[in-house]
Amino acid sequence: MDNEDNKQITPRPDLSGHYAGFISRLIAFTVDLLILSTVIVFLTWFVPTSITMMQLRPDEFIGRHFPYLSSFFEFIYQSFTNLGTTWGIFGIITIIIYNSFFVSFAGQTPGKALLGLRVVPISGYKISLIHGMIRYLLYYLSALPLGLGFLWILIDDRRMAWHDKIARTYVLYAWEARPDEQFLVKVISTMEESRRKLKEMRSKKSKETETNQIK
Amino acid sequence: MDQASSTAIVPIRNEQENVQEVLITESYSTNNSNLGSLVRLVIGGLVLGYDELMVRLNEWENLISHQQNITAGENSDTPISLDQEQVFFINAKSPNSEENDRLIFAVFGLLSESQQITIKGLKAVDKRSRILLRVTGSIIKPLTSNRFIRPVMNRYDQLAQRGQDEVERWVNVGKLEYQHSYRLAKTALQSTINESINTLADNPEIHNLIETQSAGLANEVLEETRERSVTADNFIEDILRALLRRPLRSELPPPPDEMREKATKIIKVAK
Repeated sequence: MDNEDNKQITPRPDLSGHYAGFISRLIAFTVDLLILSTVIVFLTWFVPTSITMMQLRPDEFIGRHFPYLSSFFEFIYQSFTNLGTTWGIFGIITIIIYNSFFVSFAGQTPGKALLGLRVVPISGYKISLIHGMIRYLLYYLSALPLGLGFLWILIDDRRMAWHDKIARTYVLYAWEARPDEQFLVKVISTMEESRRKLKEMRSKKSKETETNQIK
Repeated sequence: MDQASSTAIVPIRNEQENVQEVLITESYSTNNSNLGSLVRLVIGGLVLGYDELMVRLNEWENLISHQQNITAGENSDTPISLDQEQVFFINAKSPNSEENDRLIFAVFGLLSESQQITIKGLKAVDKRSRILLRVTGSIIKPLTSNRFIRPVMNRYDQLAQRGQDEVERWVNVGKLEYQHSYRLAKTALQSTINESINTLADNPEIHNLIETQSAGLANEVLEETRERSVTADNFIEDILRALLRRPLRSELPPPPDEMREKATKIIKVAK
């Protein structure tokens, strides 16, 4: 009883401003990915459809006034009315703008904001748009060796991925972060239970094989 | 039609208590046919609706009279509080209320019984008329087939035909009325539902309540997710460190204070 009371009274550690861990960042990244996918799918459908529906031919108009640019604008028109090309163009542009803009403007993308994380530069200055863009492009460097650059968060003392190290940024908890101890207890007890069951199953199997061998 | 056993418990209204259970020991035959159930449902609905309506009417009357009293004479020496007044009117019963109850139950019993009695009677009449027809048919056959009687028979057939036509007309009117009543009831129900929904949707108090509860729920879910992700961060790291045979982290190394301030600046301002 006393122990229970003590457990209830003991304040949980406040981790606000501490380095954010791998799972939080992974969830934030997944949320961003979902938002980006939705936006890109919408743009990919919306732009070519609206151009085709309204029968807009800006390339012809420009070509009449500037004949030497007509082939170039025709190429752009063809590209924008083609689904694959539009996806490519809008996909890349949207992803870069999304990441660099939000990180430089608010220090956090919507996914990071949801999980209460913030990107803070080591220099102490504000993250510029270029800095944010470079940081995002460095994601690919972290992803290249089978995501080892991202997994580095798990073993690094300051929970920095490779792109964080190169771009010189930290990702910190921007809320009064505290672990959910009940959840941890649940997870551990579930794991122990499953381990116990596994052991029981193994012992049963071994007994059965022994009896079979004796027979 | 079941001949049910004679003992049954039936709830009736009373002045002191709302419901009192009474044992009926007389022989009573329950009619479980569709028509019987329908009649019972209609009567029950009427009685229940009447009671509820009366209670509400009393309440509304009291409220209105109280409001009128307030507006008419605010400086009255002996003001009656709303609760007292309501209690007085709701509890007040006329001396004839017991007699009224008895009358209602009598009507209820009569309606229930009359339906059974009518069916029984009709069956008996049908049976006897068949016997009579069988007995008298052979006797009056020479009379009915007589050509002197034929004009009378023709008139009788015409009369019967007219009666048949009238019944047919009633059937058609009944069909039309049935459809009309059904549509009317459906429209009434739909409009009531729509009105209720509109009232709920337009009510600012309900709006506020829903908004507050939704926001509270969303915040709770978000906080729970964040807390669990923080737990998972530490847990996964510990597992990996154990696998790599590295010492477990007892506490996270904190970042420089400036960084921490920067990260939590907006929260502190908001608080």
